[in-house]
Amino acid sequence: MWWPDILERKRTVGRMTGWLVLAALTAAGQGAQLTQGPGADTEAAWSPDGQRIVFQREQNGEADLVVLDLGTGREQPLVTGPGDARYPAWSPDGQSVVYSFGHITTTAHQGIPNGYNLFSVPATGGEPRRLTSGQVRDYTPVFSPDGKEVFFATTRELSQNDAALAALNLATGEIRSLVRFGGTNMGAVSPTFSPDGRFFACAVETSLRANWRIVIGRCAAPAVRATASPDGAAMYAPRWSPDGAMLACTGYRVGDPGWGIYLLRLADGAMARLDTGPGNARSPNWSPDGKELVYEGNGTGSYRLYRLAVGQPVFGPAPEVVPVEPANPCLNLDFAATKDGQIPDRSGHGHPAAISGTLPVSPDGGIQCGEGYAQVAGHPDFAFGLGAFYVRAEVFLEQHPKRLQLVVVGDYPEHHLGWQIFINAEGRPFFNSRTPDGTFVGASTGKPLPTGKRVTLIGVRDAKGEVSLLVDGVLASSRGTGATMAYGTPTQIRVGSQFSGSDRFTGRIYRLEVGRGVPEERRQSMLTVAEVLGQ
Amino acid sequence: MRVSLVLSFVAALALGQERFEVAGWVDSFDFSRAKVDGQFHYDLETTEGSIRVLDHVLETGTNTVLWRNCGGATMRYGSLEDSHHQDAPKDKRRLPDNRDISGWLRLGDTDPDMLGYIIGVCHERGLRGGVHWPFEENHWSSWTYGGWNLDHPQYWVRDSVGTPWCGRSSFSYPAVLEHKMRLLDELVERGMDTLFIDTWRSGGWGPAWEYVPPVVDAWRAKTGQEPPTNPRDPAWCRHVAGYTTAFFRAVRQRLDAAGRPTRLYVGVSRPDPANEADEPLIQRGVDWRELVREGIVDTLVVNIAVWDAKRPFESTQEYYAAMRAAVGPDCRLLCPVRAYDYDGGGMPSYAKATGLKQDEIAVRLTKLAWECGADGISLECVDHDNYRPDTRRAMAELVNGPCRMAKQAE
Repeated sequence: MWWPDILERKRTVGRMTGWLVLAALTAAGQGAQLTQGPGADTEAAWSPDGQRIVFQREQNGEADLVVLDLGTGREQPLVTGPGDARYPAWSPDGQSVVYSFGHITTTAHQGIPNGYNLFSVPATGGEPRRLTSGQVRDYTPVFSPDGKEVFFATTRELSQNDAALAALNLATGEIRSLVRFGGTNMGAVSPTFSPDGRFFACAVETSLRANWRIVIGRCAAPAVRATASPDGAAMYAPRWSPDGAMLACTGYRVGDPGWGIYLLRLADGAMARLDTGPGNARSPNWSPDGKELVYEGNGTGSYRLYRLAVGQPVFGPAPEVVPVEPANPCLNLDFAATKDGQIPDRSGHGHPAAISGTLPVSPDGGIQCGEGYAQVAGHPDFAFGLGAFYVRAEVFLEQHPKRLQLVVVGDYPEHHLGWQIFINAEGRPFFNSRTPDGTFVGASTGKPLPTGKRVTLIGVRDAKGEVSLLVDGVLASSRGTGATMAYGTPTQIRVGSQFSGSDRFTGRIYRLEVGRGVPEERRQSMLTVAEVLGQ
Repeated sequence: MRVSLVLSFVAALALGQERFEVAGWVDSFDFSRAKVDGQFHYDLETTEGSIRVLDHVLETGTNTVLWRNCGGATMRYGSLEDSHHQDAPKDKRRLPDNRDISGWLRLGDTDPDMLGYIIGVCHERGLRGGVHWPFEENHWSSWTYGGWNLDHPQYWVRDSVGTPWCGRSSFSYPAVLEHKMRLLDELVERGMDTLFIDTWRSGGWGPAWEYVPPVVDAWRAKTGQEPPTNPRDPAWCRHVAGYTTAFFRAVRQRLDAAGRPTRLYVGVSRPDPANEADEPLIQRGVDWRELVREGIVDTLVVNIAVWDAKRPFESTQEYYAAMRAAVGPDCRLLCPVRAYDYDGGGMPSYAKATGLKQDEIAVRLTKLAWECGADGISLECVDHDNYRPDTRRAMAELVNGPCRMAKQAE
């Protein structure tokens, strides 16, 4: 479906600007300056024929699109006038440019007919054509190599300060979801394709304190994806190299003077930071032959475009691949064998749980909670330090609770609520761990647990500090990072209530397992880049 | 009655007493969805909408209006120094604020300059008009980060294992401090007479995130040891507080150099007169005692009081008095009459503990603050009807009547 009724059209201007003296080579190894403003010149994209660069020029908070002819140095305005045109990208045949455009002239209460939507315009100038519509933000578009789809970031159907990746079928106008987290402060933007069109890469942020990272995935199965950038780095705006061997992206690692251009070799994860001179360097984009990059830098004070020969970059050592530690239970309560107020531990570590109050065993082998709780004494077996650990609980809810209820809590000297599995007042399950200063880092599903059936919850804090929750083997939508509390020996593990005995669970528990490492169910979604690429 | 009030007012002025201050915090954004008769009532992007907000706030008896400079994290003026979430599509590093309509506000536009305009209106009406500046000038989520922070990763804070936090900067870098001062200059240019820096709204920042080279190196030089990995270590928090104090000191100096008197208020949650390692120090790296001792702040604002649910008003009275004594005579003190209840301690918690209605609680708390010699009360935050009509009426009568002038602390 197309929307020819363009509300806010940009005047397309074929006027040639005066020839500018642009190519000012700087120090060896650094980029040659291509533009001189005015304003900020950013988001450059190299045309498929290598002769032109389209970019956005921002002044006074709004942006136009400009095409730079590399042969003559002439700039030709492509999209001008009131409003904000951003993130230009070439069609594979070089005939058109897709971009994001917004022009908001009314207040929110007066009504806003449209937001930032996608448009395309002939590369030589002409009438823009609306591709998407709606009071949403569609941005960072890119054509698929076959030209049939446009991948882009969007806020469509989202409401929690997040962004998702979607694909627009140019023939039908249909939009399909690609990568969607559905949690607050979670987003995927800036897609790019592998040359063969089988894979995509994008920038992903997954929680409040997380840094942008580069994720690659399979176009045919977007859920099959892996993180390509290293821990502790902030990286975004990936662009796949024409030979398919690496990604160029904007990156920062501790010790860097600012944002820089990084090359990320996909075969082994090694990285090279290119010498772009002083100031930030951002948003690299490959020349079609893969020998050069165009990027934006602010070494002169304002952002300008530069081109840089990639040459023979010096890659650092490939990061060591640390295998994910498999699950190793240190507590496995056998509820069906409850006897004399004790729940035996089948893990072999000898940590039985003592019952306070009453926890009757149901005919099908679970314990009915609500009138008591079970307590496992603290032990160094549960001192997980900074390592990975997990909690597996199989539960049954007759109905959703009206207030928060605790299934199990690890009570530590570092924090009474060291880790927990709980059901909130909306019936949604949570697993949480803690930051070093005790801040809650949780994972949850976006919907309530099903009632009237057994459900297996698995909470994992991995060795990188990421917290995840699986419900019947399915990874929950919302996850957290930064859970790097070092766990010592706990005071207790409390089953069926809060550490203090309050907030009692009123459902049944059939299984409770606590251990080090990462269960297989979670490991299946912790793929490596090589696994995603099928190497 | 009216004549006697006027006479007592004149007498109070002669004695050098100040008007009992009612400082209403206003995040205009929180009015954006309020409806009256089924219609949105406050079009925040217009001057008329802002006037409506002001009129509503004044029903509480507020006489100092502290406008959030970044309502809902949307800058309410055209800053040359920074940007906020309304430009989420413009900066791909910023996740958008997807709440209904909110993300599309055009408050960053320069015409009208909403912040400067509404402060001017306050002054025309004889009110104090100031700015509520959340610590780090942003609020919480990633969509609230200032654009300057996003573009300067080299100044980002780090946790104890060295992982940087995208978009949060450390005060320990001179370049960050200079950036803050430029932002401060923009606020001064908008005519504020009061700057309120709220350290609770720090976006989750605290001493756990100050393991940056300047801070760590200084710790090593001072102690000869590596920093503690426990970020709640009081010595580490005190060390971090040295940098926040330096920030407040720089703010004070900048305000003093601005050529007109501007009061500096600092807000802290649960300051504990009996415990130096209290919540402001441990969670926010803020040493309020030092700020008072050095005369950096004109007014200490207690965001959240410490009180006992078993004896709510008695314990509050004791606490207000203890804070009055701890702050001393040279620093003004505002005590909370909070409609908000995050972290507990607000009027909803008092209602739960006492069974009283909101207007009754508001009156009791206001009187307690007045009686203990506080210079006023702080209302966090005045939203549409969260101080209910009866409450607004009762508070206005009180602060325009018996509690009109601040009581001299004994």
